[in-house]
Amino acid sequence: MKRELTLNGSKVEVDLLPRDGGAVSFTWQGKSYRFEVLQQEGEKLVLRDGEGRLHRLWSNGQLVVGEGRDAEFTAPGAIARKGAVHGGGLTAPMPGKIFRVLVNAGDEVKAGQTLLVLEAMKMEHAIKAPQDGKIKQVLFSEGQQVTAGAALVQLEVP
Amino acid sequence: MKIKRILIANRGEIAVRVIKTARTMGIDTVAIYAEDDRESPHSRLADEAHSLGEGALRETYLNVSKILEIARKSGADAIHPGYGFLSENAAFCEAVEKAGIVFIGPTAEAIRLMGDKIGSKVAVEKFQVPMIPGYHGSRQEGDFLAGEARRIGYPVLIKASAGGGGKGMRIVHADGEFAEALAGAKSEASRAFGNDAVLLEKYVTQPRHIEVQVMSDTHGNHLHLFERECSIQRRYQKIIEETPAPGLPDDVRRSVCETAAAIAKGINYRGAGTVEFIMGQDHKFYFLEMNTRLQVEHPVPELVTGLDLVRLQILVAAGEKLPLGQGDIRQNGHAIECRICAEDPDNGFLPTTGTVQRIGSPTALGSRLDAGYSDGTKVNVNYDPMLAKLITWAPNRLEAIAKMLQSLDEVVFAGIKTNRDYLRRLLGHAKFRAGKTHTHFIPDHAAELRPLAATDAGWAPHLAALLLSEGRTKTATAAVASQTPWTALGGFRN
Repeated sequence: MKRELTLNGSKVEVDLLPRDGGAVSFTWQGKSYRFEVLQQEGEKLVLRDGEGRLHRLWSNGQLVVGEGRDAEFTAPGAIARKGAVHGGGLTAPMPGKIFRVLVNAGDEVKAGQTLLVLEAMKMEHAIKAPQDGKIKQVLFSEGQQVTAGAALVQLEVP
Repeated sequence: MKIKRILIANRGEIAVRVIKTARTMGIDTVAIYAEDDRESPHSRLADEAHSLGEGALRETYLNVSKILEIARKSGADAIHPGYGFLSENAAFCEAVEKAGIVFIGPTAEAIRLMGDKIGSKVAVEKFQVPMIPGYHGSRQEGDFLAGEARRIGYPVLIKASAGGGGKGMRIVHADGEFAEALAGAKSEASRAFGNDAVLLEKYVTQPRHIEVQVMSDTHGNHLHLFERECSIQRRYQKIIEETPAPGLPDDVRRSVCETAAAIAKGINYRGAGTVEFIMGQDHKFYFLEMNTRLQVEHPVPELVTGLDLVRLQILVAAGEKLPLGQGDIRQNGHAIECRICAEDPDNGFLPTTGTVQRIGSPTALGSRLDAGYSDGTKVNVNYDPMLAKLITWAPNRLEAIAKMLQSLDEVVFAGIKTNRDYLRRLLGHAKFRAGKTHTHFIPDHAAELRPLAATDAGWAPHLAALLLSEGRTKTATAAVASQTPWTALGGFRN
C-alpha cells in the first residue's frame, strides 16, 4: 500500500507491506526495510532492524525523536511551512508591527528579496519574496500593527 | 542579617532556579506573575504567588511600585531580580533598598557604572585592563567619527553606547561605507534605547567571546569562577556556552580570569557578575563589558566548580563572607549548555508557538535541565522564546558533547517546534568538535548547518515508528493475536 508522508516539510513516499506480527515492513527509495518492535511503552519505542541493530526512539505519532535527529510528520496535503504563500499574498508569521516597507506596488522583485520588515518579539523579521514576481499591492504601511496570518503583500507571479 | 523570604522579580526558568536554591536554604519564596503568564510553573512552585495583573511589561514584570507593594504585603525581606527585566536597573535597586529590602545583586552605583558602555570603559582602563583600540568619547559628529575610524584602522565596529543584544551595531570595512553605517546604527540606537550615542572599536576578525564569572562579597573578597566560551552566537544572542574555553593556554586562562577579578576588586563590586572579553585567534583579549547580574549561562561554571551561584548570591546579600577562597575553586571537567528555544532555525529562526505536550527529562549522570515550562503549558509569545537550558558535565569536552547529544534526544519538547535539531547540527560539526569556535561560526558554516535531506537513509527507523503509530489502532487486535514471545515479554513489562 503506497503511503505519502511529509517528513520535515518534504514529501516521502513509502510502500507499506502488510503487518507481520510485531514488525513493520516497507520499501522506500528502492530498498526494503523490516523493523521488529521489541518494546513499546507509552511514547518510547525500541525497534530492531534486519541486521540486528537496535533503534531507540520517542514517538507521539507526529514527532519521532532519536538517533540525534527529529522527524516531524505532517498530514499529506498540509501547507508546507516555508514560503507562506496564500493566493499570491504573503502573510505575517506572528503578530507584530510593520517596521519598514521596502517595496511599492508595481515593483519587480526577485526571490529572496526583502519586501517588508516586521517587528515582533523584540526582533526584526524580514518578509521575503518566495519567488520572482511583481508587487500587486502592499496592504500595510510602516507603524501599523498586524495580526498573525494577516496578508501583507500581494505578489503576482508569472 | 538572615534572609527569610525572597521575592523573585522574574519569571520562567530563572525564577524556578532561584526557588530551588532558596528552598534548600530554608528560605521562603514569593513568586509574581502577569495574568497572561499564570500558567507558568514559577507561579506554582513558590510558597506564595501574587498576580501583577494584566497589561504590557511596564504594567507587570517591569512595574517597580507594584512589585514593591507585593514585597511589603508578603513580608519579603529580599528581592532577587533574576536576569533581564529589572535586573540591571539601578533605579529599581535603589527603590528596593530604600524600602528596607535587600537587593540580591550589586549596588546601584555598580549597575549604573557598568550599564554605560562608555563610562565602564573609562572606569576599568584604570586597572591595567587591556582595551580594544577605539573611540569611546562623547563627540558624535559624523566627520569626526569617520576620522577616528581611519585612525583605528578598518574593519571598525560601530556600537550603541547604551546598547545590548546587537541593536545599533554595524561592521564597517571601508571608509566609503562609514557614513551610511553610522546613520543606520544611530537610528537603531535611538529607537531601541532612546539615545543615539555610539562608540567605535577595532573589529577583531574571527573573534571569540570569552567571559569570566566573578563573585564578590562585602568583605573585600573578589573571586572568579573561571572563564566561559560563548562564541556560538546568532545575531549576538548566545546559543551554546561552555567551560573551559577550548584550546586556551593556561597562562592566558589565568590572565583573563585574574583581569576579571581585578575589575571586580577595582570597582568594589558586590555579588555575581560577568566580565566579557573579546579574544582574537592570537589569544589577545580586550575588555568588552561587565554584566551586573546572574547570567543565563551560570549553570556552566556551577557544574565544573560544584558551587551554587544563587546560594553564594544570597549569602553575600545577607552580608556574609564568601565561604571559600580562590584556591578552593577548581575547574573540574567540562560543562556545556544549550539554549532550547521555541523557534524554527530552518525557517528564518521565526518564533514558534503551541503547547508543550511533553518535555521529557535527561537521564545521563551530570545532565541538568533548567526549564521554565512544564508539560501542558502554552508557549507564551509575549515573553522570551527560550524554553529551557540543557547543561551537561563530563570529564572532558568530547564526552560532554556526546552527553548533550544523547540528552537532546530525551528532552523532546513535543508539541512545539524548537531549535533542538539545529543544536545537534552545531554540536556535531567537525569544526565545533575540534574547538574552532568564533562568533562568526554560524554564518560562516551556514551551508553545513542545513537540515538533513528527507532522502537520507537514516530516517528509515523514524518512518517505521510513524507507520507503526498510524497502524496501531487499526491493527491492534491482529498484533495481539500474532505476538511473538519477545513482544509478549515486552507487553508483560508494561
